[in-house]
Amino acid sequence: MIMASSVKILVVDDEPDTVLLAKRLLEMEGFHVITAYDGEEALHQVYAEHPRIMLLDIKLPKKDGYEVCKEIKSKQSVKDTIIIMFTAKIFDTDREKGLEMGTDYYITKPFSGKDLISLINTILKK
Amino acid sequence: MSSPTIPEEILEAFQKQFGFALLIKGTAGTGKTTLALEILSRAKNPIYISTRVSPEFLYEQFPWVADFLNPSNIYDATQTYFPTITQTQTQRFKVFKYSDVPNFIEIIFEHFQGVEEPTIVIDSWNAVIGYRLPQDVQEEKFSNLITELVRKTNIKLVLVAENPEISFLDYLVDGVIITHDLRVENRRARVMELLKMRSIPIKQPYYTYTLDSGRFKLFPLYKFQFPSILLKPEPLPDPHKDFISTGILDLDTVFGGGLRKGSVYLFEVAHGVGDGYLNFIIPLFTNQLNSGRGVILILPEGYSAKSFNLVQENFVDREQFLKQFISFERLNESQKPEEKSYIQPLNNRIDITFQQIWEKAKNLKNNNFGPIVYFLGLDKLENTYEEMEIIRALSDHMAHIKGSEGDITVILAREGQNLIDKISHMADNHWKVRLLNKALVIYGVQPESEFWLVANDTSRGYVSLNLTPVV
Repeated sequence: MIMASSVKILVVDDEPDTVLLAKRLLEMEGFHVITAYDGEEALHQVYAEHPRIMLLDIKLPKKDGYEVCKEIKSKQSVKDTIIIMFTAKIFDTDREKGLEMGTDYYITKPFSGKDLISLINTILKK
Repeated sequence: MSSPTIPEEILEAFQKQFGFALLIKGTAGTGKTTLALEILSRAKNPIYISTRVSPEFLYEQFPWVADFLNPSNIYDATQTYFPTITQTQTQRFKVFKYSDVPNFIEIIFEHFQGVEEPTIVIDSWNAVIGYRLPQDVQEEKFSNLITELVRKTNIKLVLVAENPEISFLDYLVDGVIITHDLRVENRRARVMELLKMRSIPIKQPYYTYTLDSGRFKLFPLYKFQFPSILLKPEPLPDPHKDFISTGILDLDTVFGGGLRKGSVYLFEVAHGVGDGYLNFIIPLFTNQLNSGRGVILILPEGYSAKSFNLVQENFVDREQFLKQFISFERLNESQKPEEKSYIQPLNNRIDITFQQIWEKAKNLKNNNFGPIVYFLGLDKLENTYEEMEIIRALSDHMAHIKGSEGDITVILAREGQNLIDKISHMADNHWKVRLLNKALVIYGVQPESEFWLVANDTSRGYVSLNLTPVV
């Protein structure tokens, strides 16, 4: 059984409301949450903090979610970060592109808080 | 999502590496100084040169300015004949003395050429120009000089002018904004006009804004929006025993304590609002269900109970939904077995439909799910029944709820519908939702109210709104 408090999750989105909501929700479940609001800050957090899971929006300033994902998956030191990409886009091409870049899971906005927690718990049990 | 304080176009202009001269003009009391200060609040090195009011008055009128503007960055250029009141105050602010306009420009150049990326507000430019302009020198020449200064030194300059008329300066500066205080439908409507923004595409030439709480806050294009992450809301308690909460704190306040029990509310939606009014409806029926009370609906055209799947799956308990929610609809397709418990067919006769509605309400109340809120889409009624029959049925319904110990009816109508005038006379309250320069506003027709600007509040995980008065 994994203790939630030992799991560090990075939430990346340029919408402050989404970041704060996700942070509040995940912290209520006991996770340790760190945040970033653009692609460059996200990469900085990944290298500095080594989160286990990353919730990553596609549309981000400075570097988009695909670029961030591609870089993480190409670096030995952080490639095991589990990436859940969340996006408002629902087109298959976005999903395919994300998978090509190494995204592990997808969730489409808006999504239920319960579904997000359930997905994270399923991932952690694997 | 919180509303921006200043337009995207201005932000873009002030983020550029090159100098930019912006002229803000408008009649007295339209918020020119407030807007200039909002721009300064985002600057790396903000400098305020006051030629009209004393710096002390600035801090008193805009206390929030103290967060970003040090006394050392405020220049008192009032050129008053009277000395400053106390020695302490004179020590706080730099006094900006100049002999004439050329000297004013010279001092600006000398003072700020070493400052990194300064943003300078001169409030007001009229006061400078009007002060000792040499008789042999034309105003145009000095307007030209000051804009040249901007280009040569890459400073960001904001000139506040009291005269809204077009002048020579309009052609010289890079951006021109006019602030207006208008009357629309006999209500105050503050509108900012982006007349010119050199090299910046103007996406929206007119913005509605308010000066509520002494801040400049504008409201851009309104779009109905669900939060990215959906959470179940805690029910909002009724503000008073005679009222039911609308599910939106601000709306309860605007409505004078929520929806009065035993009342009929006409909710009129103007052209162009689209789905915008759903932000009022969803919290109301969500809060009603989460408070353990019943909801009976004849939804407007284009909507069915299925349209609210996201709402029923995320904002209410499924069990509560099945017990307390009943939607009367035209049934064109076969129903799933579970839908039969909450979707009822609209009868061909309106009197029978309403008898069935009251029967369902009685059953809900017998199960302690009262008082009931009824939502009636007037367009669906008009498209299904004869007008006179609708009026008769609604009169009967209104009489029915008056004796119902607290039920509330919300009639949803679209602007231009034939029956609006008649129903407005029958209803206790008539509220209207419309767009004002793409911003969403709500206002009372009966009782009459000023405009309230509407912004989505997506920070809570459920549908909610913030309402701000246009003041």
